[in-house]
Amino acid sequence: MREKKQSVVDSDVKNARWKKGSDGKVNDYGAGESERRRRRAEFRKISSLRWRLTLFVFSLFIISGVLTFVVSCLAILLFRGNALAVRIILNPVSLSLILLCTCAIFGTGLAAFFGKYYLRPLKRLSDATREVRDGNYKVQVKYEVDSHSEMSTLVKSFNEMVRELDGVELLRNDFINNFSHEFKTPIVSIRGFARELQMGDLTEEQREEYLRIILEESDRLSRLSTGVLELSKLENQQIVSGKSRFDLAEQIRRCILLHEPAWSAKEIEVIPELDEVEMFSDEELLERVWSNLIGNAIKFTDAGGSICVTLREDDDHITVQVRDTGVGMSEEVCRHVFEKFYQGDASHGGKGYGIGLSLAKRATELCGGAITVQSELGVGSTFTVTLPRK
Amino acid sequence: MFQIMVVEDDQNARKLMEAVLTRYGYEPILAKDGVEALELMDQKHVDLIILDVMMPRMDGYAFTNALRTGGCTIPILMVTARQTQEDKKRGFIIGADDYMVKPVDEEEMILRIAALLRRSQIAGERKLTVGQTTFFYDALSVKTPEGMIELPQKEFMLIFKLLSYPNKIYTRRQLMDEIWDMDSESDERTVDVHISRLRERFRNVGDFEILTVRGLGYKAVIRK
Repeated sequence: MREKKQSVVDSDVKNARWKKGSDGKVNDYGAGESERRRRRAEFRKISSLRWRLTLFVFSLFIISGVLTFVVSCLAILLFRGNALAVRIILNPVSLSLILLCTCAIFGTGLAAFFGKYYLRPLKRLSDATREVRDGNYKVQVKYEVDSHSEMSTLVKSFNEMVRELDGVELLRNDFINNFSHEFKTPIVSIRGFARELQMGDLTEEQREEYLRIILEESDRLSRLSTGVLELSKLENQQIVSGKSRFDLAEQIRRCILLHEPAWSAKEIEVIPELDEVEMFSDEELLERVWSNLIGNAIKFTDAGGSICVTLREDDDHITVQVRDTGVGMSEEVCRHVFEKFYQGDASHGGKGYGIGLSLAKRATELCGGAITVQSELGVGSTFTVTLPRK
Repeated sequence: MFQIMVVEDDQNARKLMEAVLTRYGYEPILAKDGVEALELMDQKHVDLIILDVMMPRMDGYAFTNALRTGGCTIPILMVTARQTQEDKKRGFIIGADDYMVKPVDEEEMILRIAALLRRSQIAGERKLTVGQTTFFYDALSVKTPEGMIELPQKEFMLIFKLLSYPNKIYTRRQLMDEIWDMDSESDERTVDVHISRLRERFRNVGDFEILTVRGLGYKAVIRK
């Protein structure tokens, strides 16, 4: 149970074979039976550029040879009468010279003619790349749909890459906009009310209220900044940084204990029903998930309520559920609850800041799992995390 | 009155700490970086240090390292904006006793300071008093109104730990890890057996009680 952290690269290499043909986000680690089979299949496709080139050179020599033969025959016919001329023509040296000339003229002509045709997609590609460099993420390159040649494959991949970049750009802009809005809003309140307080001539009630608002918004800002830092760190993470073997039941228990001041202050009963399950995954990431779900359950459950945390293991999955008897959420809210900055209930706006659940979702996904929610207004919410069994 | 040193480079933050500590009955000593803090420690007695990490001249890590390698065991509470797990781990490894991420809730900070001071006192005196019962760490014995009892080592350490932090819940695993060796053959049921033995022993002592928290573990509570 206290083993060293195992690098994730090992398992990725083993899985590369089975990951072929998926979303393509895993690197192709090369050698393997399926790889060899793929190469063999490609050889058979004559439309491959390599084959075309070979055929081209081959036909060039054949045709040149034929032409030489024809030209020399014509020459012999022409100079039938002149024996000396015939001997000169039939001389291997002169024949080679004729062959060379026909090759040169014919080859150059062919290359000049067809070269332009073959290099056209390459030119289109380099133009498109220049546009992407200048910031246009909407450019796509046309290509012939005989999708087996290397050029077509390259163009197809290029188009996919540009589409990805466009998607990322969209996310980034959205994020920046939301982020600055979420930060500026509390600052406006804090500054505004502080100025009001400075002016004086307020009733005692107003003073109390303005100070309370300033405190509330400051809290919100601080939680927001912590959360956003965490989230951007996770979003930039593509792979899990370090997996280890650990006791999941114990991790959840300790997480519950970490929140003890909060749930005991509210006299909420926490009921753990945990199977003893050992997990091989990123301990820190999962810690985030449990902490967030339990924290939310406590936040949104009124005094005297209860929170049930279960951990079950079956053949394929490990399932963790956090069920509370809190205020619950409407169907509409459930649909958006994992989005960044989303705060479902306006009246609870002061408590949440909208980042926690998108963090939990991201962390779960990085661990290869999924998170769902079921809720009923006034009854409670149940968050379910399923993780793959390793 | 406990004297608490605050090492923090931001002026307003320092002022705030001073106000909060004074309000809760502590005497604050202020320093604006690690170098000044070390100088002040030569002149004044310090019971606990509240330490920022990101400071000029000498940062929190360097300061803690300097103290610990010099043999100083004064409790250190790191209060810093650095929030990642790596930062926390580094803080603890270097020798901090506790770690809080800014902005801190003042009440929580005061509670943690009290716990650290208490722990440090217990560690210093090696004895723990609860009502009319006193536990002597070095002798593994307990003085109750009925007399002196000597306890087996594991039982003593178990009750000592639970009473050092009353009301704090410990899981069976946590108790096992701290009191039994990591490689020990015993499993968590051993903890249950020891707890029931302790309950039996202190059945007539009304100063404290060991409670089972369903699904989680055990905690000791002090009865007045």
